[in-house]
Amino acid sequence: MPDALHPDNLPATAFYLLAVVAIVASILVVTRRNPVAQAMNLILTLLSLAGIFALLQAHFVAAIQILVYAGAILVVFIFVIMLLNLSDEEIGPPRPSIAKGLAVLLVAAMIWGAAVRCADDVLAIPAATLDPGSYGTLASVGLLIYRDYLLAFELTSLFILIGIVGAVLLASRKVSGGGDK
Amino acid sequence: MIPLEHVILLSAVLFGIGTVGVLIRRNLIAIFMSIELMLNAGNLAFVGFARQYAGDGAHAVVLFIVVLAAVEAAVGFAIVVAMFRNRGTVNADEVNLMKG
Amino acid sequence: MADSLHWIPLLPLLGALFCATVGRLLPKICSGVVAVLAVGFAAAVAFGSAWHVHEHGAIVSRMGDWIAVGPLKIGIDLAMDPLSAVMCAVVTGVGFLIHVYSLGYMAHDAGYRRYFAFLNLFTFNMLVLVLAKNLPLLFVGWEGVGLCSYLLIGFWFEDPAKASAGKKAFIVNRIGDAAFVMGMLLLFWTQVQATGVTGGSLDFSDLQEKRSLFETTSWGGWTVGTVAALLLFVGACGKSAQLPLYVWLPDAMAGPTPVSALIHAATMVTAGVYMIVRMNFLYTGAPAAMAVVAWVGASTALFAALIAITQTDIKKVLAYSTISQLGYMFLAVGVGAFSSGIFHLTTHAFFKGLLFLGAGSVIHAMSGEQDIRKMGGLYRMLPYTCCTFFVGAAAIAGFPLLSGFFSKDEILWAAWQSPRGGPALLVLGGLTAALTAFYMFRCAALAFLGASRASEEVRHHLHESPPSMVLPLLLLAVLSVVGGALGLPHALGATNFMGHFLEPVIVSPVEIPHPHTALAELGWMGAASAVALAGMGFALWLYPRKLALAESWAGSWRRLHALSSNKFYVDELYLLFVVLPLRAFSFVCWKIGDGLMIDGAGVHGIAGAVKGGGNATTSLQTGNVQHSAILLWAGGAVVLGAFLWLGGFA
Repeated sequence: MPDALHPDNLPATAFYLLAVVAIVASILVVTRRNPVAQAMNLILTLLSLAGIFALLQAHFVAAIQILVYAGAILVVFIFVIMLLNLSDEEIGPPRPSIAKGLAVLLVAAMIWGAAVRCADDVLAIPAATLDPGSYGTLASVGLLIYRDYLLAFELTSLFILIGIVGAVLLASRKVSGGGDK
Repeated sequence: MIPLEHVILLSAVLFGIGTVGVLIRRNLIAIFMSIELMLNAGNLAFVGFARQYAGDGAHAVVLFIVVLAAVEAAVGFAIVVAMFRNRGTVNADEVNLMKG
Repeated sequence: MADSLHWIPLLPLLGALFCATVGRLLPKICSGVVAVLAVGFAAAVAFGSAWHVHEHGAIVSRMGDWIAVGPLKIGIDLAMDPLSAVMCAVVTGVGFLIHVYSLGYMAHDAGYRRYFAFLNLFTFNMLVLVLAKNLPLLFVGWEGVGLCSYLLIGFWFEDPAKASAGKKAFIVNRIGDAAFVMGMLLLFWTQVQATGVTGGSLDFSDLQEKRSLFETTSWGGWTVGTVAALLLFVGACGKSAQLPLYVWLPDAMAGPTPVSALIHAATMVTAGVYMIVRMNFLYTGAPAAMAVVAWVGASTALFAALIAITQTDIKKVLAYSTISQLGYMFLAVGVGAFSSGIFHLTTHAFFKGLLFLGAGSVIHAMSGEQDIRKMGGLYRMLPYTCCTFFVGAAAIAGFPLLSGFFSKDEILWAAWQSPRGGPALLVLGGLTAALTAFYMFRCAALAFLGASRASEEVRHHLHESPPSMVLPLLLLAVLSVVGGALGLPHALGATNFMGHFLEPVIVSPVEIPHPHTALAELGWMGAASAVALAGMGFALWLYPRKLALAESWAGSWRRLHALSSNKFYVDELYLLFVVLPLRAFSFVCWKIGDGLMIDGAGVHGIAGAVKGGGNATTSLQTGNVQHSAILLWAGGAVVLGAFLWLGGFA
């Protein structure tokens, strides 16, 4: 495939490679039994998505994806996994294959219906030309956040605060009287 | 040039995989990871359309989704920890207090 | 004064708010004083504005939009023209005196603050009614006075009879108000039909300009003007207690006596007369409607007077006399003598207010006794009340040169000589005049003259009322005597002030010929005086010394006497033909409509279906979130499938 390595086609080639990695890794996220292995595959998915973001000129988002998502959020995951240190018994038996098959069928049908059948109507958008110097840069996204979406951005801080308080409250208090077994 | 169709198709596939994970896994931690997959699929669709329209407003939205994912993970894991502490399990099938 | 018009209604409203809120925290006298001052200042502004109107013409004050929907704009617009000026002066002037009187009368009542809040609220609504520049705003005041009337009639709501009297007033008024709204909408709809949706307006000035439209548009065989005038008149019948909707007014005497004076004599019940004079352009273009007004008015006048002869409750006598006098006013406006109607309205406010306040003073002194058969001889203990009551009685009876004499005189002349009138109306009016003189003096003589028939204990407590009650009596007595000066006829070398003042309001006046010579006019006045004096003289000859004779006459015409003292059995007829069928209908509706259909099929049926459905589907509720998620997705799949099946985006 000499064309694939032509400089003009290089981004597309990279995209397809990263897409394959993302899909394979995400399937492993869903199917692996070991939580640590799941988390590692999730990181791989997130990193390949970060690459795709960069290819789509979303440089700032790509950076955030690596820093916050693959960095911070996944640390929380691994933290919890290690904190609980679940045994196989605690994780519980896997579902029967027939249930899995039904779920896959249902979801596949939905995706096919929504993404494939409707795609032609939605995706008939001509690609716009971008200003590669400013599009998706920290400067332009910063302007967006601190000017156009300032209120939403400020509210986000309140949202995080509520999340923190809720998390502390939920994780610290002993819930009494729970259980119906 | 990356065709928009393929970006959206990738997004749909990732979303579907995440959904299947949410539906079939019993481990609450696995369910959370699947939810992260779904959120990321959404992010990808946003970025793809933004690329096509040459409008980077969606990048700000993606940022908000990342924030949402972080808060969701924090609160969700707080619930998981509380549940594990109280009931000794992270199996979604055994959490059925909402049974009618 | 031109730009302070809005303060006239606002001051009493603020007073009412004060009494209802802050007043509760302060000593109760604060509420009373604030209420009195609010009306007092409103009266001052009203008189100032009225003077401005007299000197410079009408005032308009726009306070903003009330309803603004597309082209339809109904503003909170106040306007004071001569008619509103007269009404405002009467409402605030007489209202102020009655507020002062209430300070003494209600001094020991537990609901003191509530009373003054309602009284001020009433004044506010009445002022909105008379100052409104358009029909909907007038209707706001119209409904408002109805509400306040209900609140004040049922003021002592612990007594079921009094509470139900309030409800009766409210319901009967509602019947009239429904017709009023229909009339209003008919006028609006006609304009929209004629000029498109932008052409509708209920502003008085716009309605006046379009009066030819109402006179020429036909609606079900009559002109729109006639139908609308009749519908509005039905509303006026309810509010102003005319046949056949008068039945609430006698029962309204359940309220405190100053309320009877303010609402059921001086102001609220005159709203119907005011409304017709306000809409005079509509009525002059609808002769059939005017004839109905005149005949209903004249019949009501005579009918109520016949009932009043045999009543024994002092307030009931006054209540029926109010209905009768309101009949006079409708007779006047019905024959086109609009200014005479307003003139009588004004003088009537003076002497009827006086009579009610006098009656209140008597009841106050008699420890709540209202039966004139158990009074007598009160002149010794209540000299001021007695004198002023006799002045009021003389004024209403038409004693020569007192206020009622001139106003009634004008009405009777108009009833006879107007192109819309005739001898029959004159006979009805004249008969009523004689009866009025008779029953008023019967009542006054039984209450104040002769020997006392009260029990020992009541007699022991007899006392003249405090100055806050006597002073308004004296002032109203003076007004009752000299109030005729507002409309002195030409024969006495005066100009008819009221008539000239109101001329700009009457758009197309009905020409009523004046007496040809001064001698003819004096002769006419003499005849009227003779009728009044005959009635008075007969009453004073019969009562109270020849009570036995009166009793024996009553005995020999037992049937007639019973007919009158039982108010022609109208309440019983209403019970038989309206209340009982309605109650039966309600029972059917309750049992079948409500019980079987709404409760049975509706509430319990739906609840049962939901419950059954719920029971059937509880097995779906496993409490497992993933099951819920599957169902959610399945639902989404169904919706998406339906969407695609119906053709998708294409």
